[in-house]
Amino acid sequence: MTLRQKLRATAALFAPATVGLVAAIGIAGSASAQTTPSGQDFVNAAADTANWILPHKSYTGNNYTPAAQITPANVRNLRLAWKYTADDTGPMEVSPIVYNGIMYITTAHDHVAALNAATGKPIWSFTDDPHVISFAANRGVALFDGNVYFGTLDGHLIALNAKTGQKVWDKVAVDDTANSFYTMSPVPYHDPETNRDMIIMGVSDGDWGGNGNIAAYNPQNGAVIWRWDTVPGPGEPGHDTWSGDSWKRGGAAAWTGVTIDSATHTMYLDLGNPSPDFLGSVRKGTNLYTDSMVALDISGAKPKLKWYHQFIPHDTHDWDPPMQPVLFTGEVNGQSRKLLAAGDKAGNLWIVDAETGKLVDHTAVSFQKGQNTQPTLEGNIACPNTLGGVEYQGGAYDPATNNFYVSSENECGFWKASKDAVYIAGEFYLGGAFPKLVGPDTGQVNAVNVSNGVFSWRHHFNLPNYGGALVTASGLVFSGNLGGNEHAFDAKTGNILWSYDTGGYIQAPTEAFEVNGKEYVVVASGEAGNAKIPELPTNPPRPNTINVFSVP
Amino acid sequence: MTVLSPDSARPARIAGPVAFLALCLLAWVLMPGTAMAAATLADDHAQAVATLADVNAAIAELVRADASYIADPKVYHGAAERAINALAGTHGDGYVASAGSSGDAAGAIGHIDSLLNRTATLVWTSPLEGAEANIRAAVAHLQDAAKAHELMDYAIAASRALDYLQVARGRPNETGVFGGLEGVLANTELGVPAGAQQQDACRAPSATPSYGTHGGYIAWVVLPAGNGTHDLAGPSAVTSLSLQNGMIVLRTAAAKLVADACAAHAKDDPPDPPATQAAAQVTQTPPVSSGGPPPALYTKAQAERGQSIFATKCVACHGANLQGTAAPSVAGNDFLVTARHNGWTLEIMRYIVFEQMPRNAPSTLSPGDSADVMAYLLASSCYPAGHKAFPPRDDPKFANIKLGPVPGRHPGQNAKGVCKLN
Repeated sequence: MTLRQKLRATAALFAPATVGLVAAIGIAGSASAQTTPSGQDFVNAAADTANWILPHKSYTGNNYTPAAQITPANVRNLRLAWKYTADDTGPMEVSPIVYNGIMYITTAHDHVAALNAATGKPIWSFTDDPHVISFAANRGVALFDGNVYFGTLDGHLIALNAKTGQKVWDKVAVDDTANSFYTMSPVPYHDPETNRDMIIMGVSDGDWGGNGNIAAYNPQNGAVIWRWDTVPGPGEPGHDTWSGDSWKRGGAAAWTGVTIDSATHTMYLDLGNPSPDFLGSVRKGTNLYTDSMVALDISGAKPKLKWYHQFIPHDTHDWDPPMQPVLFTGEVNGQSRKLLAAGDKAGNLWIVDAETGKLVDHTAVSFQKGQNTQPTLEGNIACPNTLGGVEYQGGAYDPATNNFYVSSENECGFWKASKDAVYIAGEFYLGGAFPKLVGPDTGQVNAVNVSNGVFSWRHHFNLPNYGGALVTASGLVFSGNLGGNEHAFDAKTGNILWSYDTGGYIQAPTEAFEVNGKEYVVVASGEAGNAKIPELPTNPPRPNTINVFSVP
Repeated sequence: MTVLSPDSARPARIAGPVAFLALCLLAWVLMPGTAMAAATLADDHAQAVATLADVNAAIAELVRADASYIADPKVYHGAAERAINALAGTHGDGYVASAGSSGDAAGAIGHIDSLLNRTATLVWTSPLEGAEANIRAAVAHLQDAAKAHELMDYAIAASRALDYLQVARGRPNETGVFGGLEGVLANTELGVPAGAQQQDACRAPSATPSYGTHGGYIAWVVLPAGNGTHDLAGPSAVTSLSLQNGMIVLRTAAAKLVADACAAHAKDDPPDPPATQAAAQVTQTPPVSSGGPPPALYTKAQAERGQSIFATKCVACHGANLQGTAAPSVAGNDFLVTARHNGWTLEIMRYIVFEQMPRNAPSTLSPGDSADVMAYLLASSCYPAGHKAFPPRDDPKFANIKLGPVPGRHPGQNAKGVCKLN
């Protein structure tokens, strides 16, 4: 084959019909390097003060920014730089992606917008509004190969041109659109072994009678490159942890985040709860790999399990670990160790060894009660309820303080199991009902000393705190409270140094970025969605906004 | 669909793309020109035509290789690869760039994927899903054929592929899954070319040339009965041909389905003037050929009580328009189409409302209040009110009532397919 023929063949193979040959050839060149990050940019994301290109800053999942212009000394001068009001209903759960001065956001019904990151001025927008199976949420996009990628509530993966917002391709990627959908941000990855780009995405289907999987897709057309199923099938190790056929609707959704150690080609995932959620008697056994962290070797053609650590064997309360695993090097008993942190909805912060998965430490960060009792037909109380504990907004490790920062909720529930679990396509597969809230609903921001698992400080709030934690190299911790206040804490003492009422309810993480050398902080705020509790006023309705702050 | 008044018609100019004419069914294109043409399906029609063309191109490759009597394996491998390319398209799985293609860039699968890439389930959804499954099976066998070492291995794999492709192509005298691509083009709105006139098939044909459509199906095609030639090439699905008021009416295989549906509506609703009917056509409601009118399951007073309970207990998540804010839609097109797709019965809807809702405090409404909410939701989904209230206790017959879009016209129905209480 001559070189020209080769070029033609390559172009034909990869050209999406709507882009055409010129754009397809451009992918390999420098044209798209300016609109979207390269594979190496993602590997180096942790050190980038300007851009925020992965949902939790870098592949490590650590919400730590080296940007240090905003400090404990000047944070009191932090002011609203701009506010963008979204044209959508539903909760705001997005991790905005910021690259070269453009911010890409999503809202609950799969609306996507590109905004000028310094002014908030809209550049383009895309509206999907698909059918909602159960609840509306979209946690963000991925930027790669000149495109913006996102998953939808009806199980599509969609690629938009990052410059124009025009659709490049659109593919149904879930097995069953009746019970499976997407909420998480896709994660771009360049496989150095095969030199292939991929978009990694996990499906949300665990409470609806589906089984989870994590899959890598070709960014050019959505074709599956590999897929790893989270519930072992017949003949696979771990299959015997499910009684009878219960594994077929076992859950273990991969719905939160993807942590990658690019040095060792290892992927760490925290997997969802087993289902039916509240009726354990129909799925006897420990139910692997539900409520587990798994370490997958992704150096080969298909992922291979290196180890797993199950946090809650045979969960009957929907207490999965939604916080993306945070990979960090921390100090334990005077020794520097490579660690992973996980947070679950039962209110636990777990620290495990990154090489072996063995438990290093465990701290209860929420009020816990009735955790060893299964829901009964008559009903019983257990805490936290299904909204945590620790949720999906992410944690942060600060090498300066050796603290791990995580936010948490104290909510209690009255749980009821049913006699049997009935699978209805498109409906929750619970074997019971979601718990009724009991008692006050409160929360806190916690700093846990990694050396010994003891709190360095805790800040208590009268409302749950879903904001996760962002820690800055300058010694600040940011987190938003459900009530609507965004707070900045002193990372050492936990003193609140600044706060701002966003006018909406906060259940999105905080991020930091720079445009033209100036540092900004961003958090989304809006309707309460599933986080609604009796303590929140229903009126007036809360606007869905993106709030960006800077020191003038 | 668009309803035309008789005086907006123009004389017929019959033409048709060669590929389309040579291959199938009621293959004429009633050329555009009228102000009110059905524009929404124009691109879909082109996609469907292109799908069939790609499938036929793949079949032609295999037939041609078979007829060549050449023993060179390259001829056979090349034919299999070009057939794969016509089916898979340039970016589909299995595409062989070096082989060339007698199809187009999107390929049959690409065209079907773009047709199926929508939330709504339409009358042509299952036939196209079936066709796609058969095309994919054919591709798998063609991949074996392309690698076959012996001519006999090639022949076995290629003939299996041909079997699947013939089922995918289908036949124009079937309206369902067995109709395949030809059935879809002959009997559903996908067969209506860009700009062609459409009329409601529940009414008598009044303009030529035009397509009589209802609920997504083509019931008849009408042509002027003057001198002249109308190119009706290839197999067609004409089940009856009649002369009516100076027009030739060709009835399709779907005519019976549509006639039954029209008869069922006539019992429910007095006829409306055409203008309101055009406005009411927001869903692709499939004709219901049996079972009669939808059941009356609640009283009007009960639905009104349910509305005020909904406004305090449900509205925060499901929205005042019932289309959902954080939670799903609970009435109208999106809800009903999904319910039908998932096979939901009234029993299932009742179970969710009574046992699972509100999500943060399940079964905290009294059975009476839950029944009232059911009444409101049914009314909002255009189910008719009756004289008996929705009961607070379960009823075994609910398991036999399937949910789905309610046939007929619903005055006051909004764009989301939600009916107002009245």
